[in-house]
Amino acid sequence: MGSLRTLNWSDFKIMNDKQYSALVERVNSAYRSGQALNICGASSKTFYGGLPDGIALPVGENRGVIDYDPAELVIVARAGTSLSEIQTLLAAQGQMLGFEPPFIDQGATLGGAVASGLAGACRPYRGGVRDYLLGVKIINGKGQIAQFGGRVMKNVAGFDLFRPMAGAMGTLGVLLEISLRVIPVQEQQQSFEFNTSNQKNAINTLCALAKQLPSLSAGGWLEGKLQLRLSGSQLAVSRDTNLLAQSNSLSEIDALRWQTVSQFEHPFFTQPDIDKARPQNSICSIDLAPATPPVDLPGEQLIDWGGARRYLKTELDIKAVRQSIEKLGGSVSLLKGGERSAFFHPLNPGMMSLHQRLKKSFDPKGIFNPGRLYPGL
Amino acid sequence: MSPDCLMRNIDITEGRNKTRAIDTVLNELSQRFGERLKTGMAIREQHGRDESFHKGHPPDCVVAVHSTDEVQQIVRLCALHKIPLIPWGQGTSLEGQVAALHGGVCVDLSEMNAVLCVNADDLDVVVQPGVTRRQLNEYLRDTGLFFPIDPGADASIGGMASTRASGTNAVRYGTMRDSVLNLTAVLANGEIIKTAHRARKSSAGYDLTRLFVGAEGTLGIITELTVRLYGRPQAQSSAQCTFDSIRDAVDTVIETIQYGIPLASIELMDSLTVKAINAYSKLSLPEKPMLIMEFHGTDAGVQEQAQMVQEIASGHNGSEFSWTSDAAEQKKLWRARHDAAYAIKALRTDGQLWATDACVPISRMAECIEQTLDDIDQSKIIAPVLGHVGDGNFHLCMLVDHAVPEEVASAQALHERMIQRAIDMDGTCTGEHGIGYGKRDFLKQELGGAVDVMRSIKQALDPDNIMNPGKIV
Repeated sequence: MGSLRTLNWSDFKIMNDKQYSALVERVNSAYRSGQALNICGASSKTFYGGLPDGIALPVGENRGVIDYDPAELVIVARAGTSLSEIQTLLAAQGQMLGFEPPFIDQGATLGGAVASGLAGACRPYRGGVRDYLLGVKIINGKGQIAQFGGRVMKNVAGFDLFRPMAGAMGTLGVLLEISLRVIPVQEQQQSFEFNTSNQKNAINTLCALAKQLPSLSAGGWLEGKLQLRLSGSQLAVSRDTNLLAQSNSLSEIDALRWQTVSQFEHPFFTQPDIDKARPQNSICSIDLAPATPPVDLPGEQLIDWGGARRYLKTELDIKAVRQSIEKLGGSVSLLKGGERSAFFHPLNPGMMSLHQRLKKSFDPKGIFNPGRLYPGL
Repeated sequence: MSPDCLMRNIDITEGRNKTRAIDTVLNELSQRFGERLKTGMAIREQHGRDESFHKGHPPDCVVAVHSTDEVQQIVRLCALHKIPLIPWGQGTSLEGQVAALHGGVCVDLSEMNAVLCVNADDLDVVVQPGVTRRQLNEYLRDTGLFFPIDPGADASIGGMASTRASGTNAVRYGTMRDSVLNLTAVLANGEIIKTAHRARKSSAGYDLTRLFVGAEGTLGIITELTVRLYGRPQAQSSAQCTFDSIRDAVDTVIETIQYGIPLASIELMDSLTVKAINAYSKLSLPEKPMLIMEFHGTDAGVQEQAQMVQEIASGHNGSEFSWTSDAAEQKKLWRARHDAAYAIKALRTDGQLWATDACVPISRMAECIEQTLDDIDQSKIIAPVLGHVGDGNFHLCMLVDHAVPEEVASAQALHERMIQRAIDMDGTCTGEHGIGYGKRDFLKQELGGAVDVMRSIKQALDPDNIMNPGKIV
């Protein structure tokens, strides 16, 4: 075994909160006037969620790694730091971001990755961004700086107010600093596909393999092919590959499949209809318990996240899709073709009221990213 | 009238009103719940005290509930009369979370103990909050699945969610924070909410599940939960290794984790803890700092993992490395580890156990424990240290005689210094036990202004402060 890979990153260590005074002043002034602010990092995900509204509050300049000790497997960076910069820094130490954030190639920032809560193909096996989040520092809607969580792996000191930041679409505060757990790069990674014509069999197989293959790190299905990725030690990957090959004829596939799906750039999302006369398709992203049987709705489907996510390209009205999926205990986001205000699955009145109370505690005048998550939030 | 008298009169008037309110509530509860309402002193005292060193406070009554609707009825009644509600599972919390500091109604959820639905293919299970972790694993025995989170006590799943519990397996399987997929809770206004569907990741709004997990019953009463399960590993093995110093042991752990070796557990015991478990569990382990580890995986996988750890440990002066896949031997070792609290108690018959914890970045852990051990030596308190070293989380187990004020003061000072040390090292005042009422001051010390944000959330969800008042904020 080699020696401990310790590096001294104390050069990165900062400072006090004075550096944020310009941002704090912008928020303060918005608080006084009630002016809505549209928090902008790299703007790589403006298509995602409700339509941005308000005056731009650029935060991309708030960049830089604050602390990274590879021995600790923790990185602390300012929210405007690009994911590619973080990825390069981690890769040099044989480490990576465990949740495979999308849009790295488009300049996406760490803050945007947390705010959107988007995760890659590993989501059901290794967790999403919230599972790696250890703490955040934010500016709340009154222009006050607060820190929740920190750099430790386990923390039960008070309410967990940093995990709800993941997926809040920037509506609870301006993210300033983020600390994340990182993971060692997997020794080996391979992606395969094999024929599974029937969607029901595909779902059953994906659920069974989740229990049998310790190295399974992605699983999906499209057009009669079950697609899998194995990651881990050489021993683990070769053992699991052999196990799969015993009953299936495996062909290796390009690992890009996983990224193009999580960035909605796979031909499934981008190819126009062959029949141009048909009305514009809408594309829905459906979240379900993974073993839920095939969704019986008209249109094309792509399965990801081991069955826990189903993408549906359909001519059906979004309300009808949501009604059907609610009966299955799931929720639907409308990725394309419909009102942006109805992007995320609607909340029932009780939950909406709870959301509003939480929002008000962080942002009493509703100045941050209004409407990006839900109208009125 | 002097201001003092005025204050006293107001207190008396408020006290009278409160007395009338609780009498009304007791009367109503008695009509609705009959014998399930208990007001005897013994049962009240038992339900106002947990397993901590902190003083118990009895509630005015204990009501055993059987459904979410019943909890809702009680909450509505108490909300109307502004009477506190304290949820109770098994009473195994460690920072006074169940103490009825302002009296009120203890909502005993231990009879809501049904496993409602095992979704084997989805790897989750829906339970009522009173199901205990051992009961759940017993129930799952024939399914090939298990629920991995294992605090020492046989706690209820609802209590574990409320205190965001974890245990020896957290390094591999996470804590209750990662485990709870959704929950149903009754809020302070009597409203019933379900935080999410069973979907692994629901892109519908804020992650409210995480807000309720670890809220210690201060935001609502959890009445149903879905938790994540895992497939039982094909093979399981355990290893132990001794070291000359805590630092060597911790460096072994750091390197092991850095190599991505997927350990299920990695536990550190100082020499005094080893001595205690030797005596209690009739073992003959070398009385030196020790790591015990558990590996989950395939037959070949667990062997490969153990070999890698052995190699790393030998680079850090580890000795007497032994490895076993024998189930009985492993059970004996881990039983001894899980019984460590009892073993430590047995070190001193005239003292009570004051167990506390802190968590630091793992690179600071050796330093933090070493300084704490030096401090213990100076303080003359008997206090073994052990911990879930893979997470940077460790426990200080002080044995203190309540009846000797100097001793209590000395333990208190030792405790305060340890927490301050952890906070100074970018750590937290608790990685596992929670805040309750025992660590409220430390929370302010650690978070400063962020506690005000927590308080404003508490205020927004529970404006009359009836949900387990006096805890966390």
